[in-house]
Amino acid sequence: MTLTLILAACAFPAQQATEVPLTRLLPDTTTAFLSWRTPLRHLERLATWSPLAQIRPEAGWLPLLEQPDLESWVERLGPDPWSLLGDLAGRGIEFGLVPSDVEGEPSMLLTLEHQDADRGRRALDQVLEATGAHFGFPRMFQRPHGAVAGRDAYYLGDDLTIVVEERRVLIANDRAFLEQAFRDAKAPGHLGLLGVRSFQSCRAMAPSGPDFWAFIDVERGRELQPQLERFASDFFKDIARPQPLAVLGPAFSTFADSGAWSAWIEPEDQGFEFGLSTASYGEYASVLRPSHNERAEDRAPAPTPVGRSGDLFDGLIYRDFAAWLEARVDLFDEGAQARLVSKLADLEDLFGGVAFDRDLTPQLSPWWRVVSRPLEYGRWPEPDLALPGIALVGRLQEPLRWGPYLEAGFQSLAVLTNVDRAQQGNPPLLLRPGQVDEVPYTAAHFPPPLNPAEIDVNYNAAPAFAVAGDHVVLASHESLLREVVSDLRSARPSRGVQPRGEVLRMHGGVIHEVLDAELDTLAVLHALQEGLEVPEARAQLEMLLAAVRGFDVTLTAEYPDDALIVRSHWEWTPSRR
Amino acid sequence: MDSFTPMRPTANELLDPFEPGPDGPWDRATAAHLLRRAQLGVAPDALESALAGTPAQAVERVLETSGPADPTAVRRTLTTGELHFVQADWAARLCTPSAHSLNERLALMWHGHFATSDAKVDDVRLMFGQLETLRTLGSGDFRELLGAIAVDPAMLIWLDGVENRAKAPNENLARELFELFGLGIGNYTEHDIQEAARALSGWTVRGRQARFDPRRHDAGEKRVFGKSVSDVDDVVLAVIEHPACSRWVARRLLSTFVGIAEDAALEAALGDRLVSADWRIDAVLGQLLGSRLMLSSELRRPRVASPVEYLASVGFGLGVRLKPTEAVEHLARMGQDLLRPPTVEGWKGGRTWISPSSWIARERCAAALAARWEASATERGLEGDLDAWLTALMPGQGAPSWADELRAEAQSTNMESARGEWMTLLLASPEIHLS
Repeated sequence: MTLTLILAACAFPAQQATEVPLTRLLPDTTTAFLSWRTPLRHLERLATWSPLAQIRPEAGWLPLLEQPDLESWVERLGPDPWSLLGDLAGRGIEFGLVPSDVEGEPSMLLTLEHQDADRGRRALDQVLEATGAHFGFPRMFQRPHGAVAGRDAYYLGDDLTIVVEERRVLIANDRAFLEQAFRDAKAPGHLGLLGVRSFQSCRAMAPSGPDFWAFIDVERGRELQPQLERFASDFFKDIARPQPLAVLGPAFSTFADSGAWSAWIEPEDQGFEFGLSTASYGEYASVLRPSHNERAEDRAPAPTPVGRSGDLFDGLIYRDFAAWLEARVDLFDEGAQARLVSKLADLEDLFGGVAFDRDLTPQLSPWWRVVSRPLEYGRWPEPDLALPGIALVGRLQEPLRWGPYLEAGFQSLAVLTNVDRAQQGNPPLLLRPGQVDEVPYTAAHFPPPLNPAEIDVNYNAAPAFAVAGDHVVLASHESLLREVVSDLRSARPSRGVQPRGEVLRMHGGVIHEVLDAELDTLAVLHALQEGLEVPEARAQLEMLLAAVRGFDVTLTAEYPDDALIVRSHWEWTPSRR
Repeated sequence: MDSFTPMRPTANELLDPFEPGPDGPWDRATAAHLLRRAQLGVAPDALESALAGTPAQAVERVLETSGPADPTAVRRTLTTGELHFVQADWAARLCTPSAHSLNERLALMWHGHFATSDAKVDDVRLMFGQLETLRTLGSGDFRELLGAIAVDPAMLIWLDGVENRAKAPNENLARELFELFGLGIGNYTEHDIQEAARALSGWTVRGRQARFDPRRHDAGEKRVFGKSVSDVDDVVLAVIEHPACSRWVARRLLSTFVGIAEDAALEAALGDRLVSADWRIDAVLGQLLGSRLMLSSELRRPRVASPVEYLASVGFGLGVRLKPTEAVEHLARMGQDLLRPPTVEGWKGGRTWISPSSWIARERCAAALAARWEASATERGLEGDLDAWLTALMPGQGAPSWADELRAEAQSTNMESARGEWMTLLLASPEIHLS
């Protein structure tokens, strides 16, 4: 009996240590973390997935990584490397990145979790053997080279440390870091990354157990990584300014101003959900968010929905110009404030003497409907490059009182535009009144082209404006305005309920039709921009359009306290051809 | 004792066909020189084809590329109203060997001759229309070309022809028709200009078409160069019949293809040949390209390559081209903004291509080209070495004086990992910027 016990003790390579979750092993200075459940199943599904199957590598679309070393190593893994990956990481992959505080290489830690311990171990042995053979030392991984925190460890020089647990393999590029991480994890109350508040917040906002989830601590990353700070500065200095953010909206401002991001992917039956969330945004972003608007009940409600089945996209967005102008002291620097004051004075002239910031914008709902659809030009010249029209629909308190001023503003703007166009020798916009379903409107058209064989792209623009009941409609073309006004008149008006968030629905089939109609032109433009032959450029666009055609995408942005959640649902409709 | 002084050949003798042997070798350097001047660059296969035959055959092959390409594809971009795409398409055509290389080369020459800028015309369709005229008529009868340009809508706007009315004549178009397009300074009087301006009056542009309005035309008696003229056709004819015209056109051809700025005897001789050839540009160009003047190594003249020539030489030789829209930006920074020449005189060329700012722009362009080369070379397995690159970029020319030093340096360092840097050095070297 004694002999058996001794043999049993020898047979077990080392003490089987308890698995510490990676989120506790990683320190609170971790800047990036990702977790991917069932990666093999997703990769297999992705490879056979209809949209991707249409992207043909031989057309030169996919960047094929030609790495002879990697190919040689993969060959050594045997005829079925996917199966090995499945055995090694059947329960998932996790990864953490920890920047160095002394401007060195960051520390990285990757874990592969097995569904079945034995199969996982066999797969690992096979991979190690292939790796040893690849480097010319076939038996180098026959035995562990050492131990880390009581676990068998294999070393590939100083660059790679592989630690084996019963159901998990840990791979790190920094042995000392890994050893320290295990030591720290033993300390009572140690939480590591799990204890970071922004990490917890972001994790709470994702669906439970998403298949893929990633977290980035932006603030910490920028502090510790000069390159990231430079990149972020360059990237954000252009968009993290009041003017573009007023157009891009509160979601962008929240992202630009937040300290941490997370992202997830959750497959669905006919598509997937891709989500983003942020945590701990700053003062700047708060001004532009729906939850900042404490007097929501005093404002006009959200406009009635106006989408149709043939739309490229339709949606509901939040742009509170009144709050944006009111907060200009916080948002703009002094120079920009002075310029804004001057512009507001000009706008006051345009809008018949009423103050744009104090009188008009507070009357408008902060919620806007947006819709885009192919145009029916009817009696108007159809341009050679026909673009879809776009319309904005708002809602107004006291439309009888303020509607005429908005209409005056539109007409004044058209007149001013004409002065500028005349100086450039360009044709003017002609203002014409119209009526649809007893709603009067103003439309501006370019005069018919002198050469009817050449109708330039500017003929897509025939801006029009109407006040329909308590709705205001601004459209890029008169024909679209007429449709929207008609829809508003026949719709049951929505009242009272504040929207939960922004929504944007995009219809791939319609987008495909619009782009396909202009494919010849787009192919030439693409060829010139990318340095391709026209047939090659066309082939690339055709593949892209094939993928776009079957998708409908719905984007939502919600603004719970202290956070932002953006979800996109990608629905693949294979029956659409 | 008598001393023998060989007689300098006459201008006509210089324009006689080049004979390999007596006039010099028909070798790689000579063939490359022909292709570089005629088509902006030297494609390796074109060079081998040229060497495989006689100089006359090589010239014939070059002339076969004088026809215009199909404009259907680029015409689609006009609807965007963006000149950028027309510029990009043209830059791509200039820098890529094709069956229309000489045609594009001539269009570029005429664009500099009848310089018209979109900066004032501000209409991509009109600018494209003029470019198409240069392509369609540029290798044919010069008389037809001059007549078309005189009433080209873009030209009428550019030189205020649309402002020229009976009661308020505008002399701009008439002046440039004489000074820059047809005759050169000193071959007309101010009175000729005033009279010609009256004859050119009445033209407008409506619906992007040039239209003659008799109500705006000065129908009175007019005389140019002592002859009675009535309208634009008469003015163009008067220019053509002026003895200076053929010489002026000859000067443009000599300057562009041979690199001679001014030579009265050569201009007269070539001008006479132009008239004898019924004003056919392709015919007289064929004589010029195959002449002793052009091909004799003793008479060859290097010059600073224009930005287009620089890009094209790299494109033809190494097969490396920037994305067309990117190429347009680099060309503009280097001083040659296609379809936007700086003045009515076009681009002066020669040493004026080089200034501190344009040289920096050339170096940046060199870096961009090297990056493109490195990316594509890896794919196609064409890494090569320093000598291969020099041969591709300067075929038939001896290695530059610094080549030995560079070769030694390359051997002692890990060139494999620094290919891009080496290529940038090469492409930025002064020798590559000579045509």
